[in-house]
Amino acid sequence: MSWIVNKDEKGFAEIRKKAKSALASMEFPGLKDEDWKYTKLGKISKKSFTVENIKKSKAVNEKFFSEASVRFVFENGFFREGLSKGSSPYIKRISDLTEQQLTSALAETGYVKEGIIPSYNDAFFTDGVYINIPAGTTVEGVIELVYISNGNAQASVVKNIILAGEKSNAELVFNFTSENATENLVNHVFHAAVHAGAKLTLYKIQDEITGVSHFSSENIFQKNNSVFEIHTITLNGDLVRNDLNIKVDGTGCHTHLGGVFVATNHMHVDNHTIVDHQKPDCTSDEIYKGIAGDKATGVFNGKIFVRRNAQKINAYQNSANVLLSDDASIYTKPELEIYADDVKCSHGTTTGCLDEAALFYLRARGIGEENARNLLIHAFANDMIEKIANDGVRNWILEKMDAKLERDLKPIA
Amino acid sequence: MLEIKNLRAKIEDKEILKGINLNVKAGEVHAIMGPNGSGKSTLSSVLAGREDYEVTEGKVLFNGKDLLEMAPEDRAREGLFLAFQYPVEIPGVSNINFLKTAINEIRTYNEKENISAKDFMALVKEKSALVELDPKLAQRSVNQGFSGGEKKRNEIFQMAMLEPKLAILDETDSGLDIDALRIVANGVNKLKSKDNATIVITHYQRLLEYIVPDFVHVLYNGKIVKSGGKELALELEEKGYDWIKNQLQEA
Repeated sequence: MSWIVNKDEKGFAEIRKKAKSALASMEFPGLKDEDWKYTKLGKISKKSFTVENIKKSKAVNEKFFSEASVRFVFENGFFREGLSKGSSPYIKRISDLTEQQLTSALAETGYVKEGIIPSYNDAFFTDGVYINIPAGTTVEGVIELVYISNGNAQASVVKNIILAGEKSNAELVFNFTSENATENLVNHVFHAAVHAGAKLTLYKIQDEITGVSHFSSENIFQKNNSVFEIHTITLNGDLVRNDLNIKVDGTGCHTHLGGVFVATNHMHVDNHTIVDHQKPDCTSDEIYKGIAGDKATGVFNGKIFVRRNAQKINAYQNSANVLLSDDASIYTKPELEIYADDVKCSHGTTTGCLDEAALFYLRARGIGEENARNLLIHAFANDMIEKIANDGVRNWILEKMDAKLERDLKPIA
Repeated sequence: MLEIKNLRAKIEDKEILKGINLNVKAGEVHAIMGPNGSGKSTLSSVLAGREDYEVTEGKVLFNGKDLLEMAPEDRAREGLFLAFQYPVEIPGVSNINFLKTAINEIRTYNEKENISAKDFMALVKEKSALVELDPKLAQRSVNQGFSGGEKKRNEIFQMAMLEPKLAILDETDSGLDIDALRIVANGVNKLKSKDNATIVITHYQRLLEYIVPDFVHVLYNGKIVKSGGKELALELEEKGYDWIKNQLQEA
């Protein structure tokens, strides 16, 4: 029995064939695989998911980013025109490309980390967007891409490509959400080339409902003087794994990775990141914050490479985590591999309970213990979000975070 | 207002307060002075409800209620205020949001309606002027990136906002230059009334030039060993704490 069955397979025969033959000789990574040490796939690998165009979704407007200038909505990986909004000369659907066009677009993005997530994606993807922003173009407003997971034991397998032309500027929201979904799977693979002098900003919101597992592989390739920024906000889901691979192949670049996750109930959230500095004179900063309560688990693995010729790199990495219960766990692993000698790299990781001194300070002013804890948890979670420069996106994400915390934070026993 | 009877407290196995007796009435200002390690900060922590300390004996009545039985938040809601020696930085919680939450929880406890946004902002404006605190600081995270002087002024600003019955100033003068000291003291003096009381805990006499106490108590080795009027502070300043230690040894 195959892990994923695509009942609506169309086109891209060569890409699929190659991926399926790779999968035939591939096993699910086990605990001995360093990259999957804390994320067990045993249970989910025994399930089976179907790719099917079921069109069940009602309008889920309240889940959308209302200020988006253009919105493309996909349900279980199939485009839903009725829920979408507007169009853009720069955006095409992947399913409208010929195999030749897709292959050459992928070649331009230049960098893919091989593995089980991209292979399943190549074999079973249905759609997604291909965004090609011409040189010198600033895209007005925020492009929103919505992926809805729906139904039972369904897989949503989507592929997205962005080519950000020289000196272009764009902001995108990736909004992963679900409706009445049970035991579903989301597989998302994303490729981006950020050309010289371009700026690309991504906001990725994972707000699946319980029972939906999510696997992402994001591969970014940066050229000279480009700026790439991503904010990954994980609010819900079953097993969530984000592989973020950034290859900085140009000088004078800046890379920013911000992340927040709130893992409650039995959630498992795993953020694996790689920033690979190949050229000199770049800066990168990476800050991930995590909250784990109930029986949830959080994993952070952040790898930074500084290659031999990449002098004058200034790379910063920090992972800060709060545990809210005795049964919650956090595993963090910073990894620095530095081959150049004139670089500045720093990293730090902390995991602890809420700050007792701060808690007492709040209570000493008359704020009840539960409210004081909630204030501190909100503050911890919102700290990264408040740094988002786009007012509309920031406020929208803050609202989502508030809703999540209010819904899932258990009162103290 | 506050009656402390034979209060003993320890942290881990070390007894720090060894039988404190103190009565504070409405309208009074008491100063508690003493050398380092005498138990001054322990006393303020125990009164505010810090859980690191274990009270082994004694009683504390606050307006007739058993203070030691109350959670820290209930002590504040009953009108006790501690100005911290080391105010805590709380990233991500704005001063405004924090104070509004505190005021409303205190009001709810005392069966009053929540303060309106308009009244609250007017109060912030009025009270921040009292301690010459830049109103912009009220928008920032609690104490985050504040200078030492700003932190202490923020404590008095909070005190002004919460209008406590009893305020305990724990070494509020430490780390303050003379101008900040004057501003802080001025704020405290303006808040003084016949209905509230203040306990000033300090190592030095300096602050007492600005906040004139009705009573001065010397705390040494976990006990109040000498009490007197404001002139006792001057005598201490002149003769030093060794004077007290020698007197005790002679006795």
